Amino acid sequence: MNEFEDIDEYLEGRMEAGARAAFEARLGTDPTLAGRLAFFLLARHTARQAALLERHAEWQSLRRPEATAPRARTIRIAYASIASAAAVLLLLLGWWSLYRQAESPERFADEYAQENFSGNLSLLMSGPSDSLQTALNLANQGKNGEALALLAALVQRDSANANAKNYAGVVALRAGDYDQAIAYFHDLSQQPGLFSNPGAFHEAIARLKRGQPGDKAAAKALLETVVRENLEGNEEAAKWLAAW
Amino acid sequence: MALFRLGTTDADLIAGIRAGGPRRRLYENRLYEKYAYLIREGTRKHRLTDEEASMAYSDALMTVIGHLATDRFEGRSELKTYLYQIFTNKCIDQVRKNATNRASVHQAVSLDDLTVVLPDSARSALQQLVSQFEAERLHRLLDKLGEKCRAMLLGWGQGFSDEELALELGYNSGNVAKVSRLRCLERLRELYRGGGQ
Repeated sequence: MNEFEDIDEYLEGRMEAGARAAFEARLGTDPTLAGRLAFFLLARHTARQAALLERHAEWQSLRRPEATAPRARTIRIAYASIASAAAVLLLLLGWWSLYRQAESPERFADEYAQENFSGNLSLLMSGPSDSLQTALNLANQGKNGEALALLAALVQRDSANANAKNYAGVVALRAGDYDQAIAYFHDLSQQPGLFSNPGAFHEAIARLKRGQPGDKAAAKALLETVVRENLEGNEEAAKWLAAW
Repeated sequence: MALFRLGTTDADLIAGIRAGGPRRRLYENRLYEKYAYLIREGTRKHRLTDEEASMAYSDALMTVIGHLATDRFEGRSELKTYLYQIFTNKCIDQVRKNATNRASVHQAVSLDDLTVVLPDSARSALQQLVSQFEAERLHRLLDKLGEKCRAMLLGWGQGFSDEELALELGYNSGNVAKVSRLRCLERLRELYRGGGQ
């Protein structure tokens, strides 16, 4: 029997259990057998490596042009192009994001409040509303608390005083008391029979300024109502909605 | 031929390789072509050169073919998934070789795949014995065996059965091929022990 036959039978799993156990026991005590097994394994490994080199050379010739180096170069170029396009796209997205931020409803509300609510407040006509003018003067002096107290008293005294409600909302908004501003503006928006009612539009501004969960959606709905019902502030509302 | 290539399913390829005979090589080549695009992934994902990735792919394919021929592939996963996993492992091996500057295929001899039947206690001792041999010299001596012996051992290394070797190399039976194969192995050992280069 060839000296490698036992090893071959063992590795191929063709040995019976008894012979297999004896072989493994001998492996631990017979350095010659262990050395022969090591050579057998290395020879098979070496033969596989040699075969691999041959098959690899053969398979390389089967690789279609697009699977070899030129294709790889093309793909690298394609990747470079894709990367460049992605960079440009990211820049555009960044610019668009900034643009959208600049055109956001919150930004519009800020600008509107700055232009219309932050300067001196005054009545177009004085006369019977002396108390109202006094409240506005207080607000113009930065005494928002006192102004609000006076305005609240006016509203309490005359619940139909739309000017008092509107200015109470404005002063509250200037003071940063958005909850109170929303309450006054909302009350105003519900007042029927007015020739011009800025309540809904101002409430939308106050909600955009407050920015609590649901405020933006509520503001949008209010602006849509302003546009649909042609209420005061409808031109601005339409512009803001377009940028939503 | 183009239709053959387009229409060859994995099931066809598996059956063709398992059937053996002269058409086995044809199916092996089709399998190579079908998933050769994985080489690009090797270069991209593992940052290997095209040569390294294509060698890893060839190595993986040869392993898969061996597993198909010996029914070690049981079809529990898609053939592509199976090949991809082995290819990934080969790529990682190559990355490690590059990192440890042991790129030569003859230096880092791992016998994991061949010693799977050995008891754990014997495996590490054998690995140590194997490392005492000069693998590169053995590789060179394969070329000195003569064409038929060399072809016999290379076929054996690829996992061909003795019956397939008999068919391929013109022996009367698998048994005859086996006897010849073991004689060739003995000759290689004699050459090695004789100090042949």
